[in-house]
This record gives sequence, structure tokens and C-alpha cells, in this order.
Amino acid sequence: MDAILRSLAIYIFLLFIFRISGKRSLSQITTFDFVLLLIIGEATQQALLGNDFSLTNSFIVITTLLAADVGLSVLKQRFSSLDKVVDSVPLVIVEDGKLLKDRMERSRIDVSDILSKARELQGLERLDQIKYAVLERSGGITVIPKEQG
Amino acid sequence: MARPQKVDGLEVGQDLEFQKKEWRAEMLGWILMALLLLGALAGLFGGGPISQATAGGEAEALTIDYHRFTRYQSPTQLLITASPNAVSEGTVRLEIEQDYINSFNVQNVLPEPDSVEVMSDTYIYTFTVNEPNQGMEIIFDLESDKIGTIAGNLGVEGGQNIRISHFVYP
Repeated sequence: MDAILRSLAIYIFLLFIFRISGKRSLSQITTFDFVLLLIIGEATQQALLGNDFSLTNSFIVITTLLAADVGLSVLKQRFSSLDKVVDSVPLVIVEDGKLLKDRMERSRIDVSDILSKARELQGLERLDQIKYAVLERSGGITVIPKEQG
Repeated sequence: MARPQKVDGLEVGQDLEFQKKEWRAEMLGWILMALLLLGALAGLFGGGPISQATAGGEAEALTIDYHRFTRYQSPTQLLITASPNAVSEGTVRLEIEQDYINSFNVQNVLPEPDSVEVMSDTYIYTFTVNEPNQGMEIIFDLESDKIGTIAGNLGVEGGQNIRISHFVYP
């Protein structure tokens, strides 16, 4: 019982803390983010397992975590409001080559992020070649180019 | 599922109203994070100034320094200072409630007691004192074995009891 409660507490806490730290926080894994993730994993591990290093305990913990994940995805499928709460919504940040500054600021994105994605994904050179840029729910940016006239 | 909201020709599930709520919730979350960290720094979750507590005094012939807040299965310490009034016949006889001390794993007692007697609902630890007019210091290294409130009475045998209480976080 103990192991299940522990795992659920950790699952909910991680869900909450990563959600409030924003979509962009770990969307592009830099070397440092990778190290950060490892440390977070390390800090979680002890609390997750307690003093019980048995196979049974690890099976229970893993099953609980995956069951919570499956359960949550079923609930998200059924209730679209929960889906938004857990996974957020996409946001248009460039419309017809025009930056929507207010939205960008609140999402902590700057022009160079968008331009870098435009080069990477579409081989675009300038902002005015972008029709739309969208901040996706995953935290990545997608770019749709203007049609060549 | 409903068809996603459109922005001109772009079929994207944008929801500005929700997005605004989300930003507000995010701000609130950051404030919560900051409060949590400040609380932790102050010792609300153990190991800081507001966790430190002292109980007892002249009347009980003992003072006890302890931690008000501690965490499950992490070490905590009782520092018991016995005044010369606590000494009788060269020993200090310390009476501790069984329910209290059994909520902990006792890792170490310093100095080692000469004997531990089991009474009806207390234990009596007997320590020899070499310098009776100086009193002595006794350290209990404990590890909480229970989540929630742990409270109990301690005192010199036959004297007034001191009630101390800890809150153990999971």
C-alpha cells in the first residue's frame, strides 16, 4: 500500500510542478537540462522506493506509475477540459509575419527562437516569410511558411 | 471530440480564454513555489530556526532541545540537559513514555545508560554522573518511524514531566 501511495504522490507532484514551470521549460533539452533531469530522477528515486529495494516493490512502483499514466490518458480522452488542464493548448505566436508580442512575452519566447525554428524546419530566411508560428502543447514551435507568390 | 477552433485558415485548437487562465495559474504556481522554498528555508519542514524548540526548565530539573518538525525516517536529536537537581545518589533516572520512544528507532544514546528498566507504560534510563554538581548532557539520536504527530512525556523519575511533541512529515 505504501509503495502505491508514494508513487501516486510523486506522479501528481511531478505533473503539477512541471506544468506550472511552463511548456517551454524542458522542451528543448540542452546539456544542462539533461543533467537537471538526471538530478531530479536521482532525488525522486529514494522517496519512490523508500527502504525497500526488493523486486516486488519496484514492480509495484512501476505498475502504479504506468497505471496512473494510462488512467490519466483515458480521462483526458473523455474530458477535453481535463486534457487542457494537463496538456495545455496550442498558441499562435506569429500571424501573417506579425509577431504577437504579448503572447510571446508571457510564454517566454523571443524572435530568435522562432527564426531558429523557421530555419531548421522550413529553411526560411526572414520573419516575413512566415505565415504562422505556433507554440505547440509539447512546448515546441512549429512554423508554416507563406506560399510563394 | 469537438472540431478545433480555427485561426483564419489554420486548424489549431487555440483557446485564448483558457490560455489566459493558464498564465494566471502559472503565476500562482510560482508564488506557491516561492512560499514552499521560504518555508523550507525557515524550517517549516524540519531543520531550520522555527523547527528548533526547547522545553523544560528549573522546575523539572531538565531542559530538552528538540525539533518540532521532522521527516519520516530521517534523523533527529533530543538533547537533554540535566541540572544538578536531577541527580540523586550519583545517578540521573530519566523516565520516558513508552509510546513516545517506540514511535522512533533509537539509533544511539550518549552516554550509554547503565540500565533501562521497563515500567508499566514508561522506560527508566539510568545514567551514572561523575560530577553531581555539574549535572549532565544526554543525547538521543532518533529516527522517526511514524508519520504524523508524535508526543510524549519525559522527566526525572518522581519529578515533573515535560511534554514534547513533534510533527513528522511523510
